[in-house]
Amino acid sequence: MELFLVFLTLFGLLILRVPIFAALAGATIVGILLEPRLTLLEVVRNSIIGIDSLVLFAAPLFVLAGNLILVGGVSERLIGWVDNLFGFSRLRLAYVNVFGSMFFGGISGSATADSAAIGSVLVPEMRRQGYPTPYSAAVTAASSSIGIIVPPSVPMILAGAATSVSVTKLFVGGYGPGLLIALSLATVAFLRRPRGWRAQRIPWNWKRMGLRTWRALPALVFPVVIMGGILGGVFTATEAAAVAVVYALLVATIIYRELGWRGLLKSLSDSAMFAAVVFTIVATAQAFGWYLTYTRVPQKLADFMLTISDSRVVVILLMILLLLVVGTFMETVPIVLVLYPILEPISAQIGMDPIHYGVTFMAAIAVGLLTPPYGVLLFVNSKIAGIPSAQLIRAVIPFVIALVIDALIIAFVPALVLGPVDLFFN
Amino acid sequence: MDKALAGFHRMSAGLERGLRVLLGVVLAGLTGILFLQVIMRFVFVNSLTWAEEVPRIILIWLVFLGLIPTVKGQHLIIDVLRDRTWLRYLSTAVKWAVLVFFLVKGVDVVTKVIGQKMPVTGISRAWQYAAAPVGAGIAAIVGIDEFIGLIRSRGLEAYEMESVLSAAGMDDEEPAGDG
Repeated sequence: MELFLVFLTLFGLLILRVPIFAALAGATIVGILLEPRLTLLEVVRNSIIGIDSLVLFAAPLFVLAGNLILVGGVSERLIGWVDNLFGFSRLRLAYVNVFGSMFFGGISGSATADSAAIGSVLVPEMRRQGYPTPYSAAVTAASSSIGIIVPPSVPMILAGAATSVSVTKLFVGGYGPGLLIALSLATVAFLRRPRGWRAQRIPWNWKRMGLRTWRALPALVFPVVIMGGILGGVFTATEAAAVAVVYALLVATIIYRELGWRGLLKSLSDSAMFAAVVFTIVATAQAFGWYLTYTRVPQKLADFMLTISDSRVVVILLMILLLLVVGTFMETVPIVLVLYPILEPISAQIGMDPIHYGVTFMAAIAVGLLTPPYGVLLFVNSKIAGIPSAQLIRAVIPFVIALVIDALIIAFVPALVLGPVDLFFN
Repeated sequence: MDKALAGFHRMSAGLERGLRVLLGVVLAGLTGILFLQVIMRFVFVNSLTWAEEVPRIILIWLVFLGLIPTVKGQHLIIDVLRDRTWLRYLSTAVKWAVLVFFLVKGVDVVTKVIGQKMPVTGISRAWQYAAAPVGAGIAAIVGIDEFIGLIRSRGLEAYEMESVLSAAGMDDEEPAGDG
């Protein structure tokens, strides 16, 4: 009964447009008032415990690195390089979009940043070459979702803060699924290819390829430096993020010389505000999570799910279904903070590896970035492409189906995630 | 009265702008500390002992002071119902109550942990916890300006939701430049 009231408060406040951090705090306060053994002090105490963690720093710093490298003009050079790889195809811009997003996902930690980087350059170019804009925007939106699967990834960092899972291992586990998703989206882009764009092939040219590789080199080296450093034990994920910022700063100011003081200050302040907004939610989500743990909700939910069926397959399907549904109306940040710790014991009980669970979780919520009513990538990309979101939604459906199938493949083929993890850590 | 209110509005807007820049600089400083730590450990084989606890204190301050410039309308919400004036009143009131709660209970927590010290640096935990009442308290004061704005129906347009997209660097005016 108390639990019912707590969740009623939470969802009631959320629907009434109360900011998520305040809704989580409000629900926790109601829960504590209904439970005489707890004191209200715990809300504040646990909120602070929730953000008393250096791992969290990695999130705004990776966002900052992504911002700096964007302002610094890296995306054009990166796209130019990928463009050359796909010169053999008449549909090359669509492939450039997908794989450009994958590479860019390896630099920035957020899917919206991917869309901004890739979409703002490629969508106008694709329009010029005669691709229908909804198609171009759909390819951009769908492929940006790879950003939260391929490391660095902000949701993975948050998962590491919300539970004791290793962020480094989650990062490594994301590579296989990231590649799978890119390949599947490229396939859909091919199957749904529009008719009537002006075909363009670029013949292979070693000299040009060499030149473009040289120009894109600082961007291409970036993920290698970051992940190499983490895997080689040179630095922690948080320190890697700081190294990424310094690296991005050097690239943008010294090598490409496109970053001025104003751009730097704005990127810094944007990233600090990002941290403030996201981490207040981390804080109160921790208080809420503490209350749920106290009332044994995760355990009860696990027991309940296992009474429906103790079949591993059914439980995994139920979890994915839950995440898909929640993903339609919630932002990835609160989904990770609230549901990741709740579902983790369930995955443990059916014998899922924690890293496999984590990456599957990310693949499932990535779909939610593209599903109405609340799909961030739909808003961002309809804005970038200048089309009504209804047009984009229609064009993106086949890609969404592919992403759901990918999530299922990732859920039922653990080797895809765990292969690289075992390779690096055993 | 009008003059006083306008002055209050200017003051809180100025505070918000100032904090945006200040917290950006703080983030840069933190990056510097973490980077320095890597250099110290690998070049000089000599870790900075304070480089873990001090950033943890700064992070908490960054978050709670960050409430002040973001709480007025940039914060993440679930966008199911359409934006209406009465909803603005309601959600602003709930938000404000939560801020006041953090101020009051935050003071209690700080007085409780005042004797606890962090293991390495020996800094009192009260320094960490004080961020909550200070940040939430100032945000609550600045939040009064949002109420005034609603009542005088500077209303819906005045605090157009910017959402976290702008915080992540995606602005209307520069979609190309810096997401």
